Amino acid sequence: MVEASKRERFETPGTLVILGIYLAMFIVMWFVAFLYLATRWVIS
Amino acid sequence: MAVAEPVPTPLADYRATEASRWCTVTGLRVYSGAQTLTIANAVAAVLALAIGGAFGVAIGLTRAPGMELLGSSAFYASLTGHGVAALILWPIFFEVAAMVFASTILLNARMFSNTLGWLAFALMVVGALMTLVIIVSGDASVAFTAYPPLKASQIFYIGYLVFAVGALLAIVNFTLSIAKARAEGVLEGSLPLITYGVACAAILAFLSIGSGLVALLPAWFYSAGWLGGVDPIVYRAWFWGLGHTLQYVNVVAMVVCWYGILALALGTGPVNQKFTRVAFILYLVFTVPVLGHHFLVDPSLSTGVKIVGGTMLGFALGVPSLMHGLAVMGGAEAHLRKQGATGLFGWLKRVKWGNPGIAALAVSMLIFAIGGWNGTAETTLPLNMVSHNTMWVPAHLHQVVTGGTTVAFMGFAYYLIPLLVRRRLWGFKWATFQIYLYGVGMFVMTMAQSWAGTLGVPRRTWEIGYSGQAPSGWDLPMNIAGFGAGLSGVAGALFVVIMVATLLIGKRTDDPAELAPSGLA
Amino acid sequence: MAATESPIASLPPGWSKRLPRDERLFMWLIVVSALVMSVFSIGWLVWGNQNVPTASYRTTPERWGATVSAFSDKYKGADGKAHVPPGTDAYMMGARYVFYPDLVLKAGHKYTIWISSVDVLHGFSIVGNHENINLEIAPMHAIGATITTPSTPGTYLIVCNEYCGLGHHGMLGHIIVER
Repeated sequence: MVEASKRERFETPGTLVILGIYLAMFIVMWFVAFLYLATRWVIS
Repeated sequence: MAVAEPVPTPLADYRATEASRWCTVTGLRVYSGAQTLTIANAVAAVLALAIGGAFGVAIGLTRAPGMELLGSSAFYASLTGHGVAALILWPIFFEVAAMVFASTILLNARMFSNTLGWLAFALMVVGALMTLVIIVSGDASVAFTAYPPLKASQIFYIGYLVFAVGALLAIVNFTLSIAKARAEGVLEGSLPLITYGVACAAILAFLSIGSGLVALLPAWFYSAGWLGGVDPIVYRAWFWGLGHTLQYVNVVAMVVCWYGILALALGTGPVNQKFTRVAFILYLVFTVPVLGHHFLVDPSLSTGVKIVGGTMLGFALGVPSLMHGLAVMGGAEAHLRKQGATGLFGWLKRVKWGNPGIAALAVSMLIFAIGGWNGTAETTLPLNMVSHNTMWVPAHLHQVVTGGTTVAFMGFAYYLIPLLVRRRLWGFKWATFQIYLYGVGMFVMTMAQSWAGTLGVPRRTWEIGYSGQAPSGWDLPMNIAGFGAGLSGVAGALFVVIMVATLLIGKRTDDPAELAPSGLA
Repeated sequence: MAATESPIASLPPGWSKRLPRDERLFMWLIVVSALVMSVFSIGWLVWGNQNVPTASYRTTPERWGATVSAFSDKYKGADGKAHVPPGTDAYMMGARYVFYPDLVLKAGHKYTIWISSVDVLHGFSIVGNHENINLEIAPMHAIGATITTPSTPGTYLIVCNEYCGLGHHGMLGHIIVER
């Protein structure tokens, strides 16, 4: 949870948390896509 | 009623003063020519959406193996009609409405030329009708991409080109209207944010139509027999110079609608003007080269072009969209905190989730965000091999164009149209319901399409049994996708009904609370 | 809302001011993410096992048809499919509405398959048995995909996933992997 002192320094902490979670899921799922790719036939 | 604010005197009053009024909600000066033309383009847009949506539902219910609504010829014709009506006609008519609005009403100014504006509109309508009629006749089943050596009737290409010329004229009128407002002293200082964003969209639209002309003219000549052939790889490059850039016109226009809804429903703006305007400019910088993501697995193009143009610049193009996500959501949060919201997420409770504008803003941002992840994965060069032309592609594009842009357009229309026609929105609660239903439908449909894409189900294909040889498990996701399409079809039809009813029988009013209902709880 | 003040036509000040903390943090996060993803993508190009084929050359539909016929005649078995010995390149064509010839390959071996279209754009999509690889083929352009067949036998379909005409949904080919 965000402490009171941090809230004073960030203007939009809720937005940052929401978008931070989105970005984290985004990066993870992007890497997961590579795992899926890696199990297809070797091709070049 | 009207506010007694002095009217800026034009430098040279060379023609009779055009009728105008003061908007009781925004205080803007609304000239009648601009107002009528905005409404005309918006009406054409809604009709195009109705046609495109009908084709879309037909396609979804045909590709559901449990239903197979249409036969193969009707399906491929509908596929073409859906692409043209839903992806070209609906967004461009709506964007022209936004261009007229942003270069006149928003600036308290007149249109540069009513005649030019109406000529543009007429050409767009004629071009649209030509293409739609020939598609329905079955002589243009080439999909909206019309890749040579596939050939359609000449009327298809001519209609496309006439529509494109009309849109170009609308862009010219937009630009000259702003220049005129500047020259007459009506517009001073920076462009308002909405106009700034629409101007970025207009620049991209200009580039995209230019590229489209280079692609479509030879294709037309080939269909007429005047040209022996067209290299399909070259055509694809020019066509996607049109096509991808046009998608970003739709993205920029969607973002503009987000700010429009923020302003009209919440009475606020982005969290930081500089941040937002830079984000708009980044679209201009990165959009054009990223057309490369359409030929990541095409022959004869170098890996360098693909990885830089398609992939790395594609990642860069995600940056402005993420920035706008922060600016919009942060703008709402900052405003609500100033009104007393506390706690990390307490501000989320301070908006009326039953307001159609707020619903559209949330649904549009959420589904666009999913589409953005999807698109980023697909634009990564090796990952494109497991997604190219599978159902991953329609999943992505319906997330961004339908769940993202179309929903944002709907939400903004729920404010803009009542303000222009000075009638209260008909069916306020239905409007909110329709937005959420549309979002649910698109979410279900596109998730099922993503699942189908992972299994390798091809896009743009009528029936996927392959004489009993199709891999197992292909049918279920396509049936679910059909169900989602049906839900969105109902919701889309509701939108059309609400818009038509508002125009015809909406309660006439000048009360700001009725014309622009607040989204603040 | 005051009639003289229009939030939709909002204000543009502060270009010279520094971005607030929230925006600066967010920009760092997304720029760093984009860089990490770019570096990883390039790394995959160099070290990854699945990459988009780059071998390609110009040809014509007539030449390609002849090349494929010659190949197919040489290796065609009683079942009408081309049985390709390891170490031999295979040649396929996409034509409305078939991928020809069907290939029979040995499991666990490397093959180069050269593919082109002899009429319109087609999508060369290998599916079935959890496989999913997609390439675009065009007339006048041939591509060479070097694949390693899986070590277990199986039948894979080649479906066309680039709309190519009214019979598009029937366009099919096969790659059979046997011991």
